[in-house]
Amino acid sequence: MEEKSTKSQRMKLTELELDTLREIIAIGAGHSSTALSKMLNKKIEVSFPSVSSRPIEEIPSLISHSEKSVVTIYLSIEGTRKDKKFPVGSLLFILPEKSAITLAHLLQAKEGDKLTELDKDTLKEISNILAGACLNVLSQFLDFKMIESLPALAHDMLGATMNTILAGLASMVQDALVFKTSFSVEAHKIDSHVLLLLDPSVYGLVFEKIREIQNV
Amino acid sequence: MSEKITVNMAEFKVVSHPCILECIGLGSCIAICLYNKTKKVGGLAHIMLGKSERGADVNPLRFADKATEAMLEKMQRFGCKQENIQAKIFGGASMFSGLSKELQVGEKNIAAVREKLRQEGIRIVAEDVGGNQGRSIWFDTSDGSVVVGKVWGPTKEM
Repeated sequence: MEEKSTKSQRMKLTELELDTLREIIAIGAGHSSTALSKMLNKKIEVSFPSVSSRPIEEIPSLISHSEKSVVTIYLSIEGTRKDKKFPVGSLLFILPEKSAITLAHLLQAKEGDKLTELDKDTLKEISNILAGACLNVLSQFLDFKMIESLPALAHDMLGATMNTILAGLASMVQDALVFKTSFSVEAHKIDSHVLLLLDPSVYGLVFEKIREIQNV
Repeated sequence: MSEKITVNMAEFKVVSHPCILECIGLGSCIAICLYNKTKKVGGLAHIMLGKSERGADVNPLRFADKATEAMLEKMQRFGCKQENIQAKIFGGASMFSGLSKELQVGEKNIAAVREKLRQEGIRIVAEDVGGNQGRSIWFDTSDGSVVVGKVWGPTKEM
């Protein structure tokens, strides 16, 4: 009941509250990039997260054209609070094909221009580590535990790889809250985008925590 | 070159002139192509999910049932009789291996689209559905043919 009333009272955050949430996600992304930087022993550029609320069907255009060949790694996030488990959202790592190959090969210190099964496993593993680093930070601020699922990977057209994840939200809400940040390893021309899509059922809880943080 | 119209997720187009209707990067989504041969009227819907749920305040064209109904209504306004309309369907792939069953949207979408078309009495004359690869399709409304392309492998005409 308590959560329900919060949810219906105010489903939207003010500009200042959104900034606080972005700030928290920026810290999380910072931890992830530090982890990646250590593994690669390279400097990583990470952009400040952007946030927007937009119709589900428009989300792929935040990244690129639908036909662009990419590697997308998907992790679902589950929360635990007072011994109850609930869905928190989805995390998507999206790398243009070339960047995916370069990153996988850098991590394994090898060369080549094809994406092998081992490369895919490497990318899944790294996504898992980066997600863990970020979610640890978010957990501390939002005051509930978050655990990422095993990663799943698709190597295909951008639009196609995003369909399934977006479909999961499409029956629930018209617009979704999307956080986007980008990493790049300049020396190696690696670009990657990370999208965090919060499950609408968790907005109430997250927004409540953000307001608490602001009032301290 | 004929005119090309892109049909994005949760959109549909019906045309009565020769052109190419395209859907780019279909994953678990499905492209429903409807065609009336004698009138040369074609419709294409790009759906994300099978059945609409009551109460949700979202774009109805995301769903196979509502999008099919909207498309049929528009084709009837162009003078098409429902019994003269045939369908071709594409998409419904499972892009991520190892996801739980409930996340395998592709298979559910295929079943829902088939069911809706059966209810409307529309025959499916060609299909390329399922699998684990994305598709792009180009529907030529001058003759009802559809070209299907994937990231890997050659395109094929259906």
